[in-house]
Amino acid sequence: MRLTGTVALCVFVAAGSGCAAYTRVDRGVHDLGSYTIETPIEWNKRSGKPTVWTVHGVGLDYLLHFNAVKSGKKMFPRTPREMGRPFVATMRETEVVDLFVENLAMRGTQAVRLLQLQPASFGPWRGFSFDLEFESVGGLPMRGTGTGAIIADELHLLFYAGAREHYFDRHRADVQAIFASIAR
Amino acid sequence: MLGHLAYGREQEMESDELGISWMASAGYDPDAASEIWDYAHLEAQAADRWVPPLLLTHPQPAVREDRARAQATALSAGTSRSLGRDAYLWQIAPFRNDWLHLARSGLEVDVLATLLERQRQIGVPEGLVAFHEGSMYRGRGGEGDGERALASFEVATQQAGCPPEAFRELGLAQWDADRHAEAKRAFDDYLAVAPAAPDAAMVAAYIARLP
Repeated sequence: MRLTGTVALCVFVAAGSGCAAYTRVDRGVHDLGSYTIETPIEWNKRSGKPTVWTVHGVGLDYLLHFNAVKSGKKMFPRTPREMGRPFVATMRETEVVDLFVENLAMRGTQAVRLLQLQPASFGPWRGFSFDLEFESVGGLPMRGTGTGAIIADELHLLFYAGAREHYFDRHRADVQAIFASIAR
Repeated sequence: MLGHLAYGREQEMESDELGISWMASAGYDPDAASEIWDYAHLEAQAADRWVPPLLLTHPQPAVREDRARAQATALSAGTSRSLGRDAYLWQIAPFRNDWLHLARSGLEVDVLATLLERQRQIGVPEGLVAFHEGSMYRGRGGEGDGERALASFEVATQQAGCPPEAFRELGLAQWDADRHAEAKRAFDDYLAVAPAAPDAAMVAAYIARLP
């Protein structure tokens, strides 16, 4: 009982402090399970579902990794039970992007606008790529670009977003290099 | 803590009363407030979540409805006021599709169904309501929902006020039902209605992929 209480207190303090644990991501090749990617720059990583990489802090830029989301599971597993829909393996590309946009909106992202969605290769797999504009929870104008594929009934999606002013363009080429590096 | 919640409910009651009296003094019909609470009551029933009355942070919608009606009756005696309904509906019309998209992402299906039926009752174009209804069924994906979605999209695409994406969704629903020729026709219609749509390249790829 005392141990449970102590653990609960630690979790509460960690959550309340707003300090999630970040680790460094080095330049080079990284194995994400079903595929590898190669990053030309260093990142800071917060593990979770999705895993988050950021250079300057998540308020300014972030790269989300949705890795092997199974059919019937939500893209953000912490979504309240009664809210949001799960990913379903039979979804087509427009539906996957709709689902992703819905999830952004549920998290307070505003004025999401799809700029482009087209077929694109995801490494050796048939996939898609898309671009978005939106405003962050705090009202900061953001730009985002993503790529994804459904591989063996599981969703894999990478999405990079950065403040429209300066940050998105600063690492856009690095992120495009990462997307282009996806390999089995 | 319970005392604090009760305090919140009293504050809410007071704000209801002030709002209704200000509404009436601005020339609007105060009866409209009880209609809002009547609808909120319907939504609460559809959500089917019971909270012990002592733990409620807000008064029950039915209580607010009764109080609003009583206050409106007292305020309305011998006066004639306007709802401003048509002007309001005209002003919000351009935003309704976006709002319904947002509602679809955040509401449970039963609550969303209640909301869409309400939209139909207040005269929102059937093309828009049926489109969101079809998307709701398609998103739920339960038994028979594929057929319900298809039927709703077919209604939507034959009505005024139908958003272009209804044609794309009809195509997807047809594709799921292995009606490939109809799916291709719906995708073609989508590209004809919205040639500059941001997902036009993807929909063109769907057409190429159809058997």
